[in-house]
Amino acid sequence: MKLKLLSLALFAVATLFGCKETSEKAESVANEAIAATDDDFNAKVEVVKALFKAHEDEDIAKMGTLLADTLKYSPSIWNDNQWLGKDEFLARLGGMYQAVENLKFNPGIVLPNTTAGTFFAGRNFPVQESSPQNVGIIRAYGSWSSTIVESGETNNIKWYGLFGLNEDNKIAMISAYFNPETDTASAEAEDE
Amino acid sequence: MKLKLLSLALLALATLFGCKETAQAESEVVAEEAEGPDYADFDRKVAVIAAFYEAHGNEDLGAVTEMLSDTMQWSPPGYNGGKWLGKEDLLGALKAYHDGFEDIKYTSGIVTADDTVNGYWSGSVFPEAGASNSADVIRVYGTWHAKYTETGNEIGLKFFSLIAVNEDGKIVSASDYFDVGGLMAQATATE
Repeated sequence: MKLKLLSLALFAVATLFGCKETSEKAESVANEAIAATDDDFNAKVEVVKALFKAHEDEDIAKMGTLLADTLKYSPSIWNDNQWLGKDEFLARLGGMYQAVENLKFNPGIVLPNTTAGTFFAGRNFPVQESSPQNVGIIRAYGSWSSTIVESGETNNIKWYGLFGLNEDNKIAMISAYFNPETDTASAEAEDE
Repeated sequence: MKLKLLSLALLALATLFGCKETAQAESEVVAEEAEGPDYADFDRKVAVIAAFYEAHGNEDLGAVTEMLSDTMQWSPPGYNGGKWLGKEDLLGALKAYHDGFEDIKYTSGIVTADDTVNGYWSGSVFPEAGASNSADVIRVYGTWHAKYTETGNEIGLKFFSLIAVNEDGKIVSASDYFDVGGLMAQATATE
């Protein structure tokens, strides 16, 4: 009889601990799905924001420190999908700074009824074969305004960019989508 | 002693069924989370957008018109102070492309430094507070090619758009990001 009692007691204890193990396994799966966190995301966003600030300040030297030497840059203007390097990227900006001033980034996606967030990362579609373990590419939405030096006119650009950062949190990839020519009539109407 | 035996047996059974219930509840939650993204909905919307671009490439304004909701809103690529235009505005722009260009062709996909990858994406993970498990807006990446009839110039265009499709399979909003000025510069270039 004592043996029966002992067996039943051991069975109950074993079942209890088996149950606990199942719960821990579920937590482990949940943790895998959130291996990257908002902290990782925010750290990368801060680097992109610093790049935008350096661009507003026309600070080529600062921008250089934020970019990986191996930067690959895809401009918005058609170039047969060729990727440019860091020197070409900075040279283009240097040329731009001769033509415009008062550069300012205005954050946010303009939606039909509101202006929503600016920086995003990650996706749920299409199907992912495994849970992502890092933040991935940063998507940035906004508009840029500036003053054209020669004419004094305000220039506005609706803008979208993709940013890839390496393990050192240096920007290693930029792909931009925008129309560099402003709609002067609309800009004037907006000013009124 | 029989009472003790019975109590232990009941404890073992209660623990066993309690554990099973917990495991079932957890697995259902995990399954629900795993089933969260509605991939069929995403695929259905992607098919609508792909058909829309194909109709545009075929210069089939009638088909394009049918795919747009009458109340659709369009944000053009050129900055206009954040104003949203309507269906007739977009159709006007598309007709202008049909009138001026031929051999219009869309190639879906993001051109990366090493490869061309998928052209349709949706959902968002970060920031976590604004994470979206829904395919409410499709992020569309691709490349357009065409010939400008007047000059015979071949043009290319790097293209991005945010597109929403309703339950009736109609496009209800589109926000475009591309170099429309550069497009016309290529089209009219004389050298």
